[in-house]
Amino acid sequence: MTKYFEVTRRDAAARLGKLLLDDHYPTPLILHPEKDSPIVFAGSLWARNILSPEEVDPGKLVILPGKPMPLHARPEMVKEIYDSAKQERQQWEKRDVATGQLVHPAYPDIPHADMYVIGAARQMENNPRMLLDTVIHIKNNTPPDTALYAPALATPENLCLLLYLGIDVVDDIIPTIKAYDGIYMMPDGGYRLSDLPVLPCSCSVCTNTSVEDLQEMNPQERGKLVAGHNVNRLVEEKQIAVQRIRGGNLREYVEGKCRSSPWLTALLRFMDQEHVYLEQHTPTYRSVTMYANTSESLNRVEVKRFAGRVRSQYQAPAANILLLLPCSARKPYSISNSHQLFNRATGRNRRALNEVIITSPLGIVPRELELVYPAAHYDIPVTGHWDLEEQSWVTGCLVDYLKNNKYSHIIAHVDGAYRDICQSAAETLGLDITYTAQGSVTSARSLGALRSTVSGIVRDGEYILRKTTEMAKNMLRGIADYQFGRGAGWLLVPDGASIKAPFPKYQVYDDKKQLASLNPRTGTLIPTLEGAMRLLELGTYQIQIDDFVPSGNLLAPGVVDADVNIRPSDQVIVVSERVLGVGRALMGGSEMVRSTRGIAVDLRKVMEI
Amino acid sequence: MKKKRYSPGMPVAVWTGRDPQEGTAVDSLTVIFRTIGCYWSRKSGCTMCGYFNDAADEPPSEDDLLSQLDRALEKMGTGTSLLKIFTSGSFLDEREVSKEVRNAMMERIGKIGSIKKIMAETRPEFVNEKILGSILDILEKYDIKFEVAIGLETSSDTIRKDCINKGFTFNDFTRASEIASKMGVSTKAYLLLKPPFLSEKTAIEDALASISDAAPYATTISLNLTNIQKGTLVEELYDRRDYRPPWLWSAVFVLRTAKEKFPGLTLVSDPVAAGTKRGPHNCRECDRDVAQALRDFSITQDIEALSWLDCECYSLWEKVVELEDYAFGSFLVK
Repeated sequence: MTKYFEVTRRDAAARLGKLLLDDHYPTPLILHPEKDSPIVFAGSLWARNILSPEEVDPGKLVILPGKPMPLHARPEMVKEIYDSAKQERQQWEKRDVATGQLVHPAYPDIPHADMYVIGAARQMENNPRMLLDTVIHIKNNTPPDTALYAPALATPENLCLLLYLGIDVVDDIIPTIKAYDGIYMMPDGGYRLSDLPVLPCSCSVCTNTSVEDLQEMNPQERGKLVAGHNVNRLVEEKQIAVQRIRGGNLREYVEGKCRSSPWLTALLRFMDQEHVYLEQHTPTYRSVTMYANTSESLNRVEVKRFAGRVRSQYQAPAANILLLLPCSARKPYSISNSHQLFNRATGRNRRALNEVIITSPLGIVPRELELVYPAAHYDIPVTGHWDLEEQSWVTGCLVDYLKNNKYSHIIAHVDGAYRDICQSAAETLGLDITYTAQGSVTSARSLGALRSTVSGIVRDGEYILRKTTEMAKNMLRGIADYQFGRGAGWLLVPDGASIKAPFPKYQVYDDKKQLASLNPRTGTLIPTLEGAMRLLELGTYQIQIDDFVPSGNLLAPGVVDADVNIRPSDQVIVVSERVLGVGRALMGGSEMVRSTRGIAVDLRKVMEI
Repeated sequence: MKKKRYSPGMPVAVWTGRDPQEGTAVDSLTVIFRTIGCYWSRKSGCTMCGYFNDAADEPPSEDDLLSQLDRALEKMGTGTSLLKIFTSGSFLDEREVSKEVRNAMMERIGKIGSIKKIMAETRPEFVNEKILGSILDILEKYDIKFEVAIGLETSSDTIRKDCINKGFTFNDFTRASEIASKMGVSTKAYLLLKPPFLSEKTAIEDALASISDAAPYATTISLNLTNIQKGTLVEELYDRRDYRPPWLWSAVFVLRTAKEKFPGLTLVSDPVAAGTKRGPHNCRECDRDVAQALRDFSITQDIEALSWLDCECYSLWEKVVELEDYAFGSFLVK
């Protein structure tokens, strides 16, 4: 049980929290190790003097005495030496203080603590694989509401990646030591002070001194000042990261920051390869823009998840004609100039079509999902050039869609790279695609061809033209399947349902009872209690709670069980013998089961059964 | 067939030097005999010790060992009064040097005339009345004093076990020293500055505490600064950047502090491989001067030899000492 640390906000693996000691210390925390720090080390068991349990101020977190081993010490030695300190550690168990445990990567078991200290973390600089494996090993074997400290590792250059990795506590040791070693640190790395003609910084230290002043000082004075600058830069990086975590866009910052060093770029790529570690903490919905500016953007959780759900959960409304369209800069696509022109060209015949938009990095976006995060939220640098990796990813998404959905006619109103993608998908599957654009997709000639092609097909065949409300229902069903799993669409938007309010603020009613409304900012369906009841049979996104009536917030200790697929920001259904409730998850399903602190669900409505 | 890499009648090394003795510096001769080597290194071994590399592949004959002594004595200058004997193991272990050879050696040394004192290195388990008695029986004839030198390394049994794997305890050392003392034999203790796994600060504190603990049992304490020897666990750690030899500043600090506390105690240190990556070092700039100062102090026992030193890297070392404990197993500066 942890009563000394609480996570208050998450952005993928990164988090904001607070250490609840003699005061509340917000995390990420930059520790300045000294006697009156909130976190103290009881000492090395090889040292002559260590703190005894009685000497420790109960308002502090104490890192238990240990025998810190270097990173590559033989595992059998690590184990033997760790075990030899068992007795000393037991003295501390009776004491009710916040504790930190030193965890050596080679030691298989992790004893309980409120904070874990990564042993010899310093040596993992330039070893991204080991750092990632170590963090994942610790996270997988410890409660989610415990803090993680990476000692002597943080620099202004790497800090945001360490926080992105899920580390809560760092220190100012390296910026300090480097200062005394003549290294002047900037967000892009370290510079030898002796190589600098001027100080490239305007922090409080640097505005009051100069290279010449520093050179004239004795090493102690100089070290102290440069350490002041280095630590200022570290603090600044922390503040930026905190802001980014709040804003839900730390990822974009990290994608940019990792460029200054190969090991940091490798760390980000390894994290993306691990996928599950980041995925389990990544919110399903956000309302902020998602910038896809780098090649790593293609591998981020949001992109892979969207494509995955389109592939396995989304069901296209019945139609025999498919229209493939290019994406637009303006989102949602429907309100862009180009898509308005396409709509005008297809006119009422549009009701016979399925529309699918081809785009990077999301792959394909069915028209029904154009409001869903991140389809309406992403932005990319548009150059007209698609790299090979991008093309093959998008082609793969289209091929999968065309395998799962059969049409009598496929029309593609696309040009350039979009056309290459359609052609290569058609070739792979042996399909025929009619291309309607010649040159620009918005030229009068192209639009005329689109109009006549679509109307020609519709005129010649027996195609159903859906009603406008039917199209709205199709959209909401698509969103429901995407959100809650296949089948949710028909439960939440049954045949007899009626849709109120204009696009996109749709509300679903059945039997005069409201079942759900659409939040157009995130593309999420917000179920009412009635809607939640209809969804119960699906069994997904449910949280079992103890026998009590929650109000406002549901706290983690009250959670008995939860769907492991729940992610932060998901709409969830809270159930027990006594109550039914609806709300928005603030942590993942497994985290709310394993946590003893923190808000699990922001409850919207609860009723007693 | 493997070619012999040494000649059995030659010692591993011989050199002359100056050593502090009862308030003055005297000329000394140091010899390292090539025996079959340390039994402990074959059984288990210490983490930092690569002296097994100097052991003989086959046991040297009695003639070989006596010839090694003769070759060593050839290098000796006139007036040399101190002879220091090492074997890469224990001189008093009769599996390395038999009683007969040892006694013959003592006779030969006694007959030289100038030698006033013999120091021989040994593990404490070989220090007993019988062995010391047999040596003293000969040396008393020539009025030569005898000293046992023991690699205590640290007075902490935990560090000696966890970090060094020495295979004996502080008690074993004090027992040996007391036996020797009763028989008029003095004890020299070797301490190890910075065994593996210790932070710079813990290493300094351990050396100082060890000096205090060992001082009642030793007339001379020699501070050995850990260096990277071939084929050792320490080398394995060093190769993976798990270990950094001690800073020379740490040795300066330990000797200064200890000398102030124990003015009558002889404190020496020969910083082997100083200034190299595999040896104790500061920055490149000051290594030579600081190492020389350590050697000067060792001969003169004058604390002034260590007082004038300064370098840009001194404040960096101070920060390392202050902060390295918080790196939890890593060193902070190469």
